[in-house]
Amino acid sequence: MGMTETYASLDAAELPLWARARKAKGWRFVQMCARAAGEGAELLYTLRRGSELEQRLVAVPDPDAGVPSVTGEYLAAFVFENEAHDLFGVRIDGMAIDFHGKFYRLAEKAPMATRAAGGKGKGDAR
Amino acid sequence: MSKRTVVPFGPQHPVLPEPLHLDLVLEDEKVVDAVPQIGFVHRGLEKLVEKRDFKSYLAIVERVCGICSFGHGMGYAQAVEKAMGIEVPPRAEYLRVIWHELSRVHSHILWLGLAADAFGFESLFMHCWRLRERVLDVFEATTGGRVIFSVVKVGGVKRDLDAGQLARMADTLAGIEDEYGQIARTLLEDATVRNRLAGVGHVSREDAVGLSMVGPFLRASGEPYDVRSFGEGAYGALSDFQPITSDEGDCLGRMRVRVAEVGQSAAIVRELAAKAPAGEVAVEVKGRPDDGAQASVLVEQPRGEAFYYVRGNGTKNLDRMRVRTPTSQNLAGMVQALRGCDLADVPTIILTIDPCISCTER
Repeated sequence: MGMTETYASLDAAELPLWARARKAKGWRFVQMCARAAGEGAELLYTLRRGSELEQRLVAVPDPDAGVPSVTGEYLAAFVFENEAHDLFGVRIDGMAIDFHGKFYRLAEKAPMATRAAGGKGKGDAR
Repeated sequence: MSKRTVVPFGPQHPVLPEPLHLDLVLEDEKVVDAVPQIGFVHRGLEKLVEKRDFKSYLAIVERVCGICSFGHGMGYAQAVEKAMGIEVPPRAEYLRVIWHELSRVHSHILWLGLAADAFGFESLFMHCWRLRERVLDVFEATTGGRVIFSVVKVGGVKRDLDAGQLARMADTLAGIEDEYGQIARTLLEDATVRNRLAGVGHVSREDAVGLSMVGPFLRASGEPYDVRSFGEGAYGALSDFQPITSDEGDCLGRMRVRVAEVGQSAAIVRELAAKAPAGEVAVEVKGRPDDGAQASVLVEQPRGEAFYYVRGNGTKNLDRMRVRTPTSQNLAGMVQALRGCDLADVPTIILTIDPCISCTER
């Protein structure tokens, strides 16, 4: 027996219903993370049931538009939703525990919203 | 009518190994709510993936945390290998699990010392950390490093272990187990320890599952979830593996689970050391992750389930690397465990969760 994972897209508006339906069927919350994608972001939600991972990708073309929180079903997500806001500038609406941008102590706003140009760092393999 | 006050706990506190701040809302001496605040050691390590190629980035991910270092390196390497379709030699899988289980032994012994120190049992803290030194000696002898091993690489491991080294490892573990058993019995059977831990910081099984808790913190509430049960890698070669659980759901239950896991990990190391197949310990890795190639891996770190995700973009730098560590998942459960406790029990409850803030903040 090994782990399996499946990826699919999901609309942001469907997030709360999807979370409620999955929780009712025994799916457990694993994580949520953001990724810079063009001018916006993409959120990856991961749920687990048994040895199966369900990965859902939510496109967020406008980070200020607002994405509904899943903390109504999965309270543990508050850590990752606050992180997505602070590091990527994605607005998450309805977080059960909202730090209003003060979850991390950052010198600049949304530091991971833009990628640095890739280059050969000192430690890179030659 | 009880008056509510807010008492700040941390980020500097004698029992906290790392900075964590809690605003404790008290009614008299009872905690009615706790609001956590982190962010004191955020280093932006996930962003560094943009600057380091996917092979040399392993040196960064190992340094997310000094206690769970090996597991981070292993999880990252496995995620990259999965995204690139790389098959690691069986011997490398065995060696990875052997070192990973040794990491669990040293982590749990370290934790037991800290937990004892949290309620004033300083002599036991000294004994535990003295015992832990013997595990670090094994790491130094087999990898060259005591805390950060740098022995994992994408495609396998950098060093092999011969039969003599594996035998000495098993002998060392046998010696540690005897002494560790005496220390653990002292703790678990002592009436004063029981008075401090039994019934403190209780989390029901239903709450533990609902709050997505992981690791010994979850298993102490009776939920038998352990990533090792899925049989990935060399865990599939074990003759039997059962997650260790407790029905107590309190600080004492969490201690019992971690104490028992040390013996379980030692047994796993002995079994795999005896069964390790001969062969290569690494494959050459050519190329780079394809654009859009993505993969995730779960690893049972000493503190619980850790999630590793990588996504390539066709260049030598990954597009995204994500580590979701067990403590960040357990913060909601920690808040639940603190509700209703006495102020004096707050340090003990936090320590029994075995928090790793370096992991949480990255």
